[in-house]
Amino acid sequence: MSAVLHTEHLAAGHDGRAVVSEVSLEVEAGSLWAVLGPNGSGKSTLLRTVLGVLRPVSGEVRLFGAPLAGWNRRELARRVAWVPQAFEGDPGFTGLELVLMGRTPHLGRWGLPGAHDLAVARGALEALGASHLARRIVSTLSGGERRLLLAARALAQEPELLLLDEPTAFLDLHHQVELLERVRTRVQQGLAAVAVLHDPNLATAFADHVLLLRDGRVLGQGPAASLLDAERLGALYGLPLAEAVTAGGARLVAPEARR
Amino acid sequence: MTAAALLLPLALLGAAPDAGPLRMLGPRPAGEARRVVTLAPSLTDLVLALGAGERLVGVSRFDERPEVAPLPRVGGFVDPSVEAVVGLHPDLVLVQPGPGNKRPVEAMAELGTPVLLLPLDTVADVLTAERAVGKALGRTEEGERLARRLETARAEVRGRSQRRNPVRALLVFGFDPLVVAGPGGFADELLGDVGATNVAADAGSSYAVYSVERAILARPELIIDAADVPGSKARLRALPGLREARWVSLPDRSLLHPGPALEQGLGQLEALVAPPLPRSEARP
Amino acid sequence: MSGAAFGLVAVQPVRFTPARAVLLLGSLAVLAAVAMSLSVLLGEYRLHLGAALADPTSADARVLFGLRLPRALLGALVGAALAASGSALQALLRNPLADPFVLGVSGGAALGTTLALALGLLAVAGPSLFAFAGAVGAMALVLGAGRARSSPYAALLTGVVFNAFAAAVITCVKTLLTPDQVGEILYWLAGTLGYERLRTLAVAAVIQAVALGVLWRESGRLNLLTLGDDEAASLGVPVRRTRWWVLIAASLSVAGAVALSGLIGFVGLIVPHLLRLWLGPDQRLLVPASALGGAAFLVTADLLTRLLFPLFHAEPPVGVVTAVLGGPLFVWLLHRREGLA
Repeated sequence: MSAVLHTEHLAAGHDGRAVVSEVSLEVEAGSLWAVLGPNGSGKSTLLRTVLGVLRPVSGEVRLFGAPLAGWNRRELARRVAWVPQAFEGDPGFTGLELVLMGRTPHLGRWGLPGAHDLAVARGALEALGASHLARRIVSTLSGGERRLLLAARALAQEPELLLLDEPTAFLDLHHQVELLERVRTRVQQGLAAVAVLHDPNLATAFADHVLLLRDGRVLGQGPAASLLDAERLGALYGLPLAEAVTAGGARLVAPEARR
Repeated sequence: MTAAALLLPLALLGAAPDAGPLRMLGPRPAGEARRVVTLAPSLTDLVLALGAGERLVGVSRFDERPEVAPLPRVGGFVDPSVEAVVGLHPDLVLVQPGPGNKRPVEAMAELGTPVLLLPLDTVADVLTAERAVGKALGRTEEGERLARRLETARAEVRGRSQRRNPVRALLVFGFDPLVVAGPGGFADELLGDVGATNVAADAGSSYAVYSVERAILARPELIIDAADVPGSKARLRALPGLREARWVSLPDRSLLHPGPALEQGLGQLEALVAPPLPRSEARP
Repeated sequence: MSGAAFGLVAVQPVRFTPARAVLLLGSLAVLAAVAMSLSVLLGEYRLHLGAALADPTSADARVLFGLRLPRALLGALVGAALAASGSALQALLRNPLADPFVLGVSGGAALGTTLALALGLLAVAGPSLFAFAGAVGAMALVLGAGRARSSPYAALLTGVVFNAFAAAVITCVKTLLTPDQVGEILYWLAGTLGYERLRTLAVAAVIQAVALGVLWRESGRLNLLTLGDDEAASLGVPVRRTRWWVLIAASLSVAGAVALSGLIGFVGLIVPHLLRLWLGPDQRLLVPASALGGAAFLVTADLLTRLLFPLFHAEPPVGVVTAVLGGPLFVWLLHRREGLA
């Protein structure tokens, strides 16, 4: 059983100071992990450390069986993709140009795409229902539309492991669901995904495993069904929560109604 | 290390760039020059004084003499236009060398124009220039005559000055900043001729920026204003150490340009330094 | 196509293809060639092309090959260097206001020349040598300081500070020099194109070919660097290595340009911006396009300075003309940007 991502006693942080520690995780292919926790609990930091752009404070990270430190950046980029929280680049590019940047690890120095690369990029846009953004200039797009492009770019990398940092922020409900559904579909086809989410209900709906982080520690990890109850989530967010089941069988949690 | 690196240049500052001796660049002119371009008003003066004014075909944009008013301008000291000069097809270009015009002048020579580089820093330079240009224009006698006149004038002035007490003098070229005649230049030499002791003999170069405090400490008896614009002259004049001096102005500043005008400049300088004495002291 | 008119939609979704690049760069190359031809043919001296080509010893030939051609080549080299480096630095520093002098290279060159003038060393060798030495020294200092931290902003800050320091030292030296010498320094600092020997131009051409070649080679990665260090790394880009290559190549290119021509402003700022408005932000296009556009722009500005000679009996420094042309253009650009955003 080779895990796609394996961490052992991982402590992640900046400048040698850990923000979250003792994370021992195993992510298999074909699973979708949701990382939940209050603000500042180190979720993004963890993701960046696993990605390799932040040095681990201590502990070990193995990707596809090999230690993180030994990976060639380009090789890794062909297998691990990241959807960051915000778009920082030059807003003069078009949507398709941005998504094509995701093909970089597969292309030469000049990044000249071939027909196959264009097909993959367009496919990624279509999968997310964002084909109409191909010719638009990024500076004219809303925050949500830009997020879709970032997700499409990551998919265009054709990764085996997808790391998503709050991918649903700024998206309307329709697009939130659609995005996670697409990711779910890919996961069922073999992709491994780790998504930082801020809405536990989305986790309930889409994730099969969860990692709960609070105060720099792991509060719980494992199959979603057993961990996503009102009590544990209430402890996670420090807030009394109530649970309900809809007629269709979907489980929901929400803050207790205030009188 | 940084401190030393900074101090060294400061210590050497004020060293005037070496103008070099009189030199010919480019091809040797065949025979006497018939089409002459000058790049400085002093050199225009020289050509005119030699009686060869009709041979001038181009002058610098700073030339103001009426005799050359109709002539085309070819640029300035730092930026002579090589194309304009070459376009006039001169067979001799007269240049006062400076660090700025080195490259354009070399370009002219490389394009086949004979160039005569004439430094004009000292009186000896002026004498050499008068003779050399005279020769190049086929007016050797006139050149020789001009040079002799200046030499004779100097000898006479020196003779007269020996009968007077030396006067401590300061010759000012500009007030903002204070630029004075330092040692080694023609102004310094002329001051010596008229019996003045140049109090700025400790300056770094012949055309030197001078410290006002040092000027005050030197206690000049005579201050000669040879500046273009008064600037802060009035303020300087009010300072202790300077207000006690006798302040005089050169009536015509252009007479202190290196060239044939030096002769007249010398006369004016003498008149300023040694005004006619009251009758009771006029006994030789 | 109203969307395209308002800049909302690109005419094509992918704007860098070999075919399009050849077409665009080709037209810019033609533009540069036209500018250079005009610059060679026009001037104070009435050039007769036929006579020049027929008789190699004629005055026309000497002016054509000895004056006009070297000057046009110099203008093209310096313009290309400043514009291409400006484009690359704007991308690298993610700052649209970065100009090629921002890294302190210009301060170093100016300082080198000023000190050489003050020490009387200019009689020994021309200002170019000292300018280049000063520029390279500044480059080493600024890049070395940026090394301690991997952020590009460290280099930028050090560059700005160094420029200020150099300006202060130059001002100090200026007050100590005689008025003649000051005039000379001012002239050089304003940025001029003079007459360089073919030997010097050959060396300069080699330096620029190497430096601009490196910039073009890294331009694809430069695009990705604008996404941010982390994202670029996640896409497989060797971030630190790319950044160093670009900084060094850009600095070398600017040093080589400033050494020959002094500080010619606006070329490195205006040309990349104009081209960006037309071509988009893709550096794979912008770097070579800026080189060609910069060459055309500077050669044209130089032609204007020479055509102004009859008016002033002097050629204004070309840095003046680029500022007079570039200033209003820049204001118009800003105005347009504000209007869209």
